[in-house]
Amino acid sequence: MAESVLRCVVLYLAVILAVRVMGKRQIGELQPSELVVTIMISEFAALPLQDINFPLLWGLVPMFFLVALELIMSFVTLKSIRLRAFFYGQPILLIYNGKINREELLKTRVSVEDVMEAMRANGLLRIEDIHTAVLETNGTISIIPKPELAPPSAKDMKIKVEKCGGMPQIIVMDGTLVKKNMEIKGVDEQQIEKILHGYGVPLEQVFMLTIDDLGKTYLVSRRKEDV
Amino acid sequence: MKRFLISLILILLFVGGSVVYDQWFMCRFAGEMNKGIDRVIQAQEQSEKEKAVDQLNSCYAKRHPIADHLIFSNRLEEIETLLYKLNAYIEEEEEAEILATAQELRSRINLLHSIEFYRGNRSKDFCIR
Repeated sequence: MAESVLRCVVLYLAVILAVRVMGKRQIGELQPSELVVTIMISEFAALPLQDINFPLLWGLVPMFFLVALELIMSFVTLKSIRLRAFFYGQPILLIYNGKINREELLKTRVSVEDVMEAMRANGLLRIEDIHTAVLETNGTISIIPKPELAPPSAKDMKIKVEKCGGMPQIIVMDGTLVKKNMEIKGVDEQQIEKILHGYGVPLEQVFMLTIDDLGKTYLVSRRKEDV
Repeated sequence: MKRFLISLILILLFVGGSVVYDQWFMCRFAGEMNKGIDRVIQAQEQSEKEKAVDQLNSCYAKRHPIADHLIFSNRLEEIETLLYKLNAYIEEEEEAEILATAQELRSRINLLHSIEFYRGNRSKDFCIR
């Protein structure tokens, strides 16, 4: 029993490491080869867990070899357009300028219902409202509405917008200073003390303090009276 | 890019190292065990046989901790059972059984040695009884 638990811990850490090494892309959008690798990794991890006779290394070595192959493949496909098209495929136009490409729909075995589902998910109800529908390499359908139906941007409306404050960084988390983010925003402890003094909240009572590029701050206190 | 290369090199080192070490270990393990079995078979006197079996036992015991990580446990258990039998027959001085068990042990070792990548290193005496 103890060996099973130990194997479980080792394989759990190994699988996490493998997925982390392969990159964040794995979690959100799986390309065909990535899907295959993910399934095979789970299979390799399961074998030494199911069979105690199976040496742990026999699961770990092929698992990491697969990760190495995937890393090499991702690098090669990054450099070569042809290989990328071969291994990952290419985006396919299902609808262009409001016209359905029936040949491509048949080739890719995507039904009109699938396109309509993606259309509804994008807030459109009629096919004639679509300017372009693209079947992406990860299997999702991207819908771009006709220009007259696209939501207007500030540029279209000729509206002057405020300068963007960028991504706010967490400077204090649960009463602790986040040094790395302080460096990014170029603030020191004295400046933070001043900010907190302005809010009237001591550091240890701060649940979260963020600062954006324009120096705008946002504070959430732990104290009930501040909520 | 640096992180990517470091990860790739570390993984390839781990995989390559494991494969090479496994190959090397299996050749050594099978070679030593075969030599030990040869000594048991060739021994004429009872005391020589006992000494040869002791050497075989200690050779197996020495390699067991690593073999446990590289070889399937049920295959190792088969070898252990045969070694146990060999020890028992040596004590009972049963000549025919000693020879038969030693041959059986050799075939098990060679079978282990002959699987997967080890085919190229197959012993001349390879046989499955």
